[in-house]
Amino acid sequence: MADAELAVGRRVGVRHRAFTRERLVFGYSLLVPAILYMALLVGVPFFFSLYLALSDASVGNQVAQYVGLRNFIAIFQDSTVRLALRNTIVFTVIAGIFKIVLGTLMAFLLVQEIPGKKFIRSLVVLPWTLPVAISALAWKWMFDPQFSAINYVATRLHLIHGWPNWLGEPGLAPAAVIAVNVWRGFPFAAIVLMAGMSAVPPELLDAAKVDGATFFLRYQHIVIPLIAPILFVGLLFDTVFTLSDISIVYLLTMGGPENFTEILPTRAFEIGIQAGALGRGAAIALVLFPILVPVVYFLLRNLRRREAL
Amino acid sequence: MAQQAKDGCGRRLTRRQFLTAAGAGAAGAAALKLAPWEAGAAPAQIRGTSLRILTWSHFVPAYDTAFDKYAADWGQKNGVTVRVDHIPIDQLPARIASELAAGAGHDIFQMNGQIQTTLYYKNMVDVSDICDRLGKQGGGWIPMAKNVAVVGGHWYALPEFYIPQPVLWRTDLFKEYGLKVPSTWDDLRAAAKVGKPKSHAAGMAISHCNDANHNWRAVFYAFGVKEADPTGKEPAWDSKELREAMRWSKALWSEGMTSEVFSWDNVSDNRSLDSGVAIWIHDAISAIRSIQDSNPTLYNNVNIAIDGLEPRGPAGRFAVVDPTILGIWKFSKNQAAAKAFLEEYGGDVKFSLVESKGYNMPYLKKWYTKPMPSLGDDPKVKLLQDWDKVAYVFGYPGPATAAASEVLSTFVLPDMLARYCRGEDLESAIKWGMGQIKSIYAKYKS
Repeated sequence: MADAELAVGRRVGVRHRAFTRERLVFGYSLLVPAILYMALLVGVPFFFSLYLALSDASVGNQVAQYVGLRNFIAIFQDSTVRLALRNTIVFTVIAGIFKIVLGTLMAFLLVQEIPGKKFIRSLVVLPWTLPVAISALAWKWMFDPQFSAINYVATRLHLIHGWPNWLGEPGLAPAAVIAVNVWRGFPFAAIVLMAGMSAVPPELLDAAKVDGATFFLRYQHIVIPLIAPILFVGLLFDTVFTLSDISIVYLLTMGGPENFTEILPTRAFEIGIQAGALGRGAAIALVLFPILVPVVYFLLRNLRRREAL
Repeated sequence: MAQQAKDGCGRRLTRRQFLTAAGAGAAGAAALKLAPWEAGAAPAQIRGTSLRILTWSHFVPAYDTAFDKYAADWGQKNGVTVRVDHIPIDQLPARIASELAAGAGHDIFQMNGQIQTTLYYKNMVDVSDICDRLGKQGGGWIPMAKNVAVVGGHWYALPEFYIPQPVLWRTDLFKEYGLKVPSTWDDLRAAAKVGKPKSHAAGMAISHCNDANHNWRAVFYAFGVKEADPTGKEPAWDSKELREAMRWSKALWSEGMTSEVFSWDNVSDNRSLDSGVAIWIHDAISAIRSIQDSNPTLYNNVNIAIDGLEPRGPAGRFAVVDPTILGIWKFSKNQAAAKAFLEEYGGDVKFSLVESKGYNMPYLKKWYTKPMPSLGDDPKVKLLQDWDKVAYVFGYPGPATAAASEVLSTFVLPDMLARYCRGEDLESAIKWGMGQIKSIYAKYKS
């Protein structure tokens, strides 16, 4: 009897193991396309960049030699790269804060039931949908040292005195670049937040209102926890976009004046592509990686924890 | 009758005359070892092929149209399908780099302003045969040509043309303020000092743009500053001449320019002149071509160049020009057609001068015989006919090396000057600049 039970148990165990193995094989085979996709589109370029950064590759010399960490040592000895690193972090943090604040305000406005809501929403996303070259050039004209429309209007409204050189002063140029980045990016934040807010059950907010919760308490204790997953993904996207955004700086200031708007992507482009030092350019570009990894890790970990709750 | 043939004009030749002429032609061609296309005919093997050319979007748009037609006509004549792609000048370095990385793209490509022959020459076809022949036909190349196209004694590109940046100055304002006709950089500084309080400041960009690079190099070279040794391997910026040039340049900026120049791009100076503000600028002649029809009064009041050349400084007159060259990729599958095109186009300097309205300046000495096509007929630009005497390229007195090119593309000179103008100590600004330059040169030595 005991033997029979054991035999049945073994058969069941074997079948279970076989079934589990089949499921595993089937499951992983479903993952293969996604893994291949990631490996080809993300892994290959990343490891190629790493290979370039550890070599003396240049645009004219396709046979590169391994140079170890020489490129990384050299770039950190370059005061312009250090300035670019500082600028990159400052730009990202300040622009991120402004985009969150303005995006939130805009999202609150957009969720209101007002006439022409759809039209207003489509207008709001225009800065984000316009090609960056067009919007940056328009801003360049508005910041022009001779014909600045901003200066013209602001001086006539007595908001400013004098004629600020927005793109030529070390104190103003970074602010101008951040302003354009915020102008372009906050509609994205607004749309993301608006999508989240639309999903918040109104009865929760009504109940909180009945209990006497103020607007800020409702926002802090109900809205934010509920839209946190969307908020984190939006923040992650925006951080990556801002850290790697080359176009606004390139079109507005080319990194000037005196490198005060130089950021890592523009410096990497100047050294790696324009000057042809691929190895050193790749090393500069990879400086972003250790900055991004903890940011991404922190955001994704928080996201997972909240989803588990 | 059967023993008689007709020549090209329909005249009848005797058999003796015919054989003599044919024999002389064959012997001549054999003696010169001419390839078929060198004698004016395209080789049979290029017929039915295609040729792709990458070049910039010219600042004289009409030249692009003319060049496209020239290329198409050449293609039709030689049975080659020619395609010309124009892209903005700033995009050329990235495009060239990506084409080489991919090992595919155009057959002929242009380098413009930022010359990187020393970086790419291993991947470029040796065109010494073409350049030697064109040089002989054209009375030799001006010295600058070798600095942009020759590496290790071989020509790796055809010097196409260069763009001069003369001083463009307002004759009416000079007269109104009782200023003498300028001859030196000091004269221009004095004029700027008078003009600035009257809302007519002078202007040269001190910013991250190409104009800033070549304008201030023209000033610095005139003060005796040298970028490198004659081989181009060792930087030679750090000198007492550099300090003198920096002091003088800061004085010019503070006395005669506004802070606008710190944010100028390549066309800001054009706008300053064309809007009637600037008493003088230092830029390509496109700045006044753009007002030739729209504002003839202002156009007539702007003179080009100083004594027909660049202003004189303590070390002489120096013009730092924007050179352009045309190279052929080694990966090109149609090198024969590419070489045939380069030879014909490179020899047709008149086309380049006329169609660009004197904007494209030649590298071949013969074409400086006065009156030059286009320039000689135009009283406004005819003063540029001696520009070959002052034309230099970045990296002076060495060639335009990769290191010198990186110093150029990372705007070290304008940044060093901007630091000093904004109040940084002279030695501190120079120390920063020399640190950047030495680091760049060290990279190319290792």
